[in-house]
Amino acid sequence: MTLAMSYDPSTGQLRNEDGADRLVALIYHQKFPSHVESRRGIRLVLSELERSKISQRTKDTLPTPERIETTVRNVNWVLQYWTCAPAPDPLDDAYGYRAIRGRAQYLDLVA
Amino acid sequence: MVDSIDGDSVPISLIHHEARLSQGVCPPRVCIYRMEINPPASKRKREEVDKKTAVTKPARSYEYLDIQPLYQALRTVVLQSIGRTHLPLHSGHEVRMLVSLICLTGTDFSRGLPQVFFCFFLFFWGGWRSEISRRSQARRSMSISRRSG
Repeated sequence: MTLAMSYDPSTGQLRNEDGADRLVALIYHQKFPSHVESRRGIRLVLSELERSKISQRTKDTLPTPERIETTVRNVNWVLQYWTCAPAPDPLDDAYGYRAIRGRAQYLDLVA
Repeated sequence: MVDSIDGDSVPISLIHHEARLSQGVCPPRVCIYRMEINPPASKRKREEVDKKTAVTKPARSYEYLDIQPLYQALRTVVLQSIGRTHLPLHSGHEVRMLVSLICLTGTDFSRGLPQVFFCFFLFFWGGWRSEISRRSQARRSMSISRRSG
């Protein structure tokens, strides 16, 4: 149900904010149910995980909120690209890529 | 027939299958010929020796993947997970939604979310979960009846 609420059927892609704050937040809640109480808000879920008793090694692998937001945008571009309609420009701000020295980079790594 | 070395061909085919159905067009029958994932141990153990280099290579097995029944099965699971909630706008997007979820585990153009693996979704997904519990309950009741019998 959360997936459906995070998905916009009019555009055929995930809603950027809901994708991170609802869908990915719930995925991490489900992954670490005994360490995370919140089911919504990716920053809240990640901060709860940071304060939890999970191992430091696992904590080190957790993504930043910026990376999650970028990934959701990247996924939206992939969905459009796979549809084979003229794919939108990946360097559009909506899709989470940025051109650095002629090469596309993930937005969170650049900012 | 799609001869594929890339796992992305499966979600791409599923998206196109659904798009054709949404347009009211009969989708073409697509079969993907690809390397088998998690082959049975009996197949995995067999090894081949390259005749030219005499190097032993692990055996690879290939399979045909019929997109139409796969699409039907995945759509059923998505509909089960949504339950009785009526979402008319999402009708015809069920498998595309699932593909967006799969994409979060990583594609050629996006990074996967750390600590999130595709197999995890099998348990995360409500439909699968209820299916698994239903089957295990059936198995348990069978073993109980055998014991009592």
